[in-house]
Amino acid sequence: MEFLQAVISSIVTGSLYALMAYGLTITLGSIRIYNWAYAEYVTISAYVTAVLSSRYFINVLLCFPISLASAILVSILVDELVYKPLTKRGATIIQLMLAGIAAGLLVRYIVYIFASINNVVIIKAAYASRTILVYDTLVITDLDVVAILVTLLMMVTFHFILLKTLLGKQIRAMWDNFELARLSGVKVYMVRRFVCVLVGIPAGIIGSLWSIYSTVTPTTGWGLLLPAFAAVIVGGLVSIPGAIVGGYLLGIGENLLMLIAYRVFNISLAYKPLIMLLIMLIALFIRAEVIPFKPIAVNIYRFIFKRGEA
Amino acid sequence: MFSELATLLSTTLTFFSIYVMLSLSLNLEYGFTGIPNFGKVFFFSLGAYVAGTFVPRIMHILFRIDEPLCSAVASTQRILVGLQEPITLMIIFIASLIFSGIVGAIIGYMLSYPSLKLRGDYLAISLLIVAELSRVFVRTEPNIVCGTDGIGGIPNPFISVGDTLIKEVLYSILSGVIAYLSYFFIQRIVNSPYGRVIKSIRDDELASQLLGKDVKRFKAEVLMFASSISAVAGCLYAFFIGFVYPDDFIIVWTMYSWLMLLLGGLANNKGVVVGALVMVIIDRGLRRIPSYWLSLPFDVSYLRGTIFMILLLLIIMYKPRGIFPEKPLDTPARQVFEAHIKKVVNLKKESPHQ
Amino acid sequence: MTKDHILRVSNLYAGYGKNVILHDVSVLLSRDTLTLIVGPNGSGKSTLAKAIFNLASVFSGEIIFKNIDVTKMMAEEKTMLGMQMIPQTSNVFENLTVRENLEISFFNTKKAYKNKKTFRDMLEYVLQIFPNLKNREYEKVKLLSGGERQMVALARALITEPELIIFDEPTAMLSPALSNFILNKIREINQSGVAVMLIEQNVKAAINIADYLYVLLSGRKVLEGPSDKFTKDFKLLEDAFFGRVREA
Repeated sequence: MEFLQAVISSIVTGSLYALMAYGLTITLGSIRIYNWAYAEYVTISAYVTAVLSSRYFINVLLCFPISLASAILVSILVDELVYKPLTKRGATIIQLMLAGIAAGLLVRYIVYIFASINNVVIIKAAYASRTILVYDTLVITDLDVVAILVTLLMMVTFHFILLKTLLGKQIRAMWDNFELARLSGVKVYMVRRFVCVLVGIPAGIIGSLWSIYSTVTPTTGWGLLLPAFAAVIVGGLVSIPGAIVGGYLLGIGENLLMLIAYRVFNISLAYKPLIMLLIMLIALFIRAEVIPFKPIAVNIYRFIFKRGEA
Repeated sequence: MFSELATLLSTTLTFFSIYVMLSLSLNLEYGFTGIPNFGKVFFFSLGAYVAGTFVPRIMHILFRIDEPLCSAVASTQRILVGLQEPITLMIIFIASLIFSGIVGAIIGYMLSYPSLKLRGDYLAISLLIVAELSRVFVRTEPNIVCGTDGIGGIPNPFISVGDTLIKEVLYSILSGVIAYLSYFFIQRIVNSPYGRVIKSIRDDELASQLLGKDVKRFKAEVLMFASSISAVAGCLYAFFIGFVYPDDFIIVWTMYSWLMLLLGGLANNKGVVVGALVMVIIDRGLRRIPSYWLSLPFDVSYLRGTIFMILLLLIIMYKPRGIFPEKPLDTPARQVFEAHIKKVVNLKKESPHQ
Repeated sequence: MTKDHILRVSNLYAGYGKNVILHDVSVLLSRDTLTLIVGPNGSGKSTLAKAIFNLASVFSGEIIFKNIDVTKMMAEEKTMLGMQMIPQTSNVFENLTVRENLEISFFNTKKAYKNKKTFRDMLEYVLQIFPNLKNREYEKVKLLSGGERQMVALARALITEPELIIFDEPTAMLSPALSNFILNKIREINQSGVAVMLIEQNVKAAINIADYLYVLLSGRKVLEGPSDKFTKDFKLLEDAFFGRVREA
């Protein structure tokens, strides 16, 4: 039963990571940015939900759209003030990455300052999640169900947008060949703004869900972003299916594998981050063909991540 | 007044040395070789963790301290023992410096191995993730440096001198000497044939590969040297502060190293030293001033971080290659070439046809 | 500028970053002529094409398209006006299908009657011109051969019904037979009323279809004239290529 619980939490955290990794991959592919400031979009929306619901007693469902809007706003602001001017100046991807981390830290410090002035550094949304299923020791809350459903819905919607709509096709065109996209008349800066909105939405949703699930601190988003980026690496940087599989792999590693290690080998639960690191490093080693179990593993890996070679 | 000023100066010098080592090693990696290391703090923390695990344990064995490792009593006892046994303590200090250098080198080499076979971006991201997740791990694992509480009682090697001021001055001089040695070492590397190879790798990897240079080996070696230097800096930091606390080693250290690098200029060691000086003055200054004049409703470190991040963003925006970037080497061949160019330009000016 | 001049580039200085590559280049394009730009490697032909689309930096000079000053306009706005360019390399979206390639071009140019039906009509029209692409609409472009890719690139420009197309070495890396096919198509496109600016290295093949010719040499215009003048006296062109400029 304990294992079933771990499976469920694997799916929940895995979907969160996968959704974040999805957003990161879209930014990386279409506007060529390792968006480390993404963590702060999540943090801001988590704070908005938490503060509004616990200080101003607004219904959590009403907080949802507000926090979503705030995440989108931060996303657009960071792009307008940092990424876009840098791209126009012809910055390299490493400079953009550095600027992204710096911008993220800047936002985080501002959050720190405001949170300490208003005394809300550690806060939680005023919503107690309800248990909807109890079987033996297995507990499923409404939050689990909502998280899984919402992330799945988001991913399906994203996939639809990318594959079927003209905007999605334009995003993929930018992904493929930026200069040619401009020559074909794609309004690249408009599409760029749309990408910012598109990746702001999952950040807002994840932030609100997290503020209900657990306490919020200014480092909440950063803690979630690291596994998401690890998932992006596992998936091979610019492959969307790869990022999703990577997200679920890390979710499974963090919950199910950890539980197995704990129960079977009596390994302390402190090794959770180490297991995530291990998954990422193994993926790196396999991708670099350092680990010599080529015949089986690499073929399976390649089969799954065929599109990831960049 | 004098003693206060001397303490301030010696603290500044110690931090200056640590910053110099961090930013110079980053310069060796990114400025000269083009390896974007976003996990600087990881290699820095490695040295501190070596000090935090190795020193207390060896002291407990050597001096038969029976208290549990993490207790406050044990840390006081370690300091007391350090007062009585200056020579053994010095040996332990030097041994842990060397040991942290070796550990940094080994882990730097190991981590570079998979990533260097792939695109440069993989290395940047994976090092960052390694740095952050390993910090979380060390924080939760009680058997390394006592988990969240951190481990205290790492005695300053000059503790037996007695006077706090002299102790700090001596330590700052020692760390200054180590920083100078690493400066000297890096200068020698980059001004040798080896340095020209790594610069050629930075400018065009394929071309240097075609000239028969083993690009991966050079990159791995550079990462090894640089990680070793940063680990020694971490060890110095741990002995200076006197305790190792995992939550110290957040990504901010990495960003500060990058800020110092860009304040100086890519591939310009002297400039980077100046950058570190500017940084340490702003940093120490901001730590001092607000406690006298300002009373903020929040921690001053947030204000400091905000200022530094704005500075970093401005530099990336307007001076992406740093404030004093690398100048071409002044070789005889270049002098001849430039004289020739000047002549051609003059000729063009004179001729009305063009 | 008379009425049938569709594009006028005057006194253009352009380059990349701070490097000036084009010096004082003036080019005039008529509506119904096929203008050929030739020159040795590194003479700035591609830079001229990119500068016209503001993809290289323009330092001074004027670019006027249909009496509108487009010097400072962004590339995506220029395509809206009816200009199209087919770059030399990577001129198709490899990971998209043929149909998607065409769709992106079609729906991003300003015409009042853009809808799915008109797209289908235009698709039909374009596929008539390039019958090889029929039945391959839903294939990814990276699975096509080099010649077929070039056809997709041409189709991508044609489907927008442009008034001016700039071809940047469309026959590079193609077999002689395919080159001729593509050059003939370009001639046909021109005869259907689209102004064409063709940048070519294969002078002998291209000069036969061209009406007017410019020679660039290290960023400067050294020679121009109607192409039959050069077909008669090929030595003139050879001299220009090697830097011996005679007064024509």
